[in-house]
Amino acid sequence: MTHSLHRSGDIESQKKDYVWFMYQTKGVNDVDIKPKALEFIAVAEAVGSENWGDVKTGPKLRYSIEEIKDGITDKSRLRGIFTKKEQVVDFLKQIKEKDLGMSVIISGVLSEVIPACREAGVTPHSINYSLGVWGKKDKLPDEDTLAITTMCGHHMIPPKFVAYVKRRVKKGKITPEEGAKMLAEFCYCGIFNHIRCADIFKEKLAAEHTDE
Amino acid sequence: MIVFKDVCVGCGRCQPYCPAGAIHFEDYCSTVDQELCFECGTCLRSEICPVDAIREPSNVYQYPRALRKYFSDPTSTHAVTGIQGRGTEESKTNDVTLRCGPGQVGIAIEIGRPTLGMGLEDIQKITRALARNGIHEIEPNNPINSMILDHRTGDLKPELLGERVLSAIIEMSIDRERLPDILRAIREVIPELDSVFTLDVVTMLEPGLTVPSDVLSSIEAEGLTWRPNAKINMGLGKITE
Repeated sequence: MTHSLHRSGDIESQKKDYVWFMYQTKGVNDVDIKPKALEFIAVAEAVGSENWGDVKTGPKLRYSIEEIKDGITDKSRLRGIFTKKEQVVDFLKQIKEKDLGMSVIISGVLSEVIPACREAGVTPHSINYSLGVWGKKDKLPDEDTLAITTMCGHHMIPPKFVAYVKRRVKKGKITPEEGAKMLAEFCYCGIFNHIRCADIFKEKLAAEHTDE
Repeated sequence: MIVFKDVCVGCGRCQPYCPAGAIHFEDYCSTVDQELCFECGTCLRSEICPVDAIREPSNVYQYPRALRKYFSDPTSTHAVTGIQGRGTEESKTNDVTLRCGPGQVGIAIEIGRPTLGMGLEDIQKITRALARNGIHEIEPNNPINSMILDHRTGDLKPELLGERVLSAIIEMSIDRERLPDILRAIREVIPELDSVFTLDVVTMLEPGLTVPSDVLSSIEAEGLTWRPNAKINMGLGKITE
């Protein structure tokens, strides 16, 4: 489910984190999707989607845009991120104008996404609400780690690897941006928000310096 | 996945890449605990092994172990439904499928996420709890439907119960007045589970882009609250030629 409605962490931080999806429906509009997929990519690039990908190839932070385009088949899934509400508005306006007939989904903080829909002149059809996490929550990693790992909806990012990257960033071996890109490579859908991740690293480092 | 012992140089670089924590040292080489491995393929895709010792074993696509891959590797296509990810489109194509239509509410119980994964026994605990409460309408286009042996009891096919996956989604659409019963059944089973799940509620939006008030009331009446973020279907999908 790409799990994007269950992203966690500080809400102000999540206001810089939007996920977009293009979805074909099996048995309905899932044949010869490539021309439409290329139109989605063109719009996403035009409005500055910072990361996107096709799960069948991987994210653009790891593979070239041409490689991803070449790999598109009817089994592809295109997804990506935006970091600003204005991008969501532009994206929706242009996709609506193109009238491609594919399902479009945006995940994000409701207080931002609903006004973006109104501004773009789009009337959403349905909503998928999160009622939170249940069960053996004591087995979960800490909240800071979850704020990062939940940005890969399929949960391919091991908490142990987040700890490893954090240590490298803290020691100055890599920059927060480099660490965030290492983590983005796990997320083949291309919905890992590396900009937000780098910000989280910077905030935690600043807080640790203050504590010292 | 497996690590070829005669190729592995014992550098251990692959170990932090495993979401299941299944790779460890044994006899100075890395080895994959086959019980823990989700067959998600993350270690292989990382291309971290300097000597290409990580391989996909021949039994990956053999039933029932194949379920590990179908539910855990987002690049794979589920053999039952022909759909990627967890093998279901759920609300993402609701504007086209009307899977959750007027007067209905969709429920998704996403077991194993965040991050922990789960044994399929946890799915059975939930399907049994739902069945005990008279809830049998598991979405037919969701692969979990095909894993159920007896919809009256919620029992899964017994050969599946030793398998582990990163996550799976129990999904259903019901009339809205039944939402309280379902939420109650789900809450009752929580203490029995060994892993975690995330809970979703899907509805069509009403004029003014609002959620039906009776759905919100049912959620509140069960002592639950919704988080400030959500996934929204923009209504731009169409049935095309």
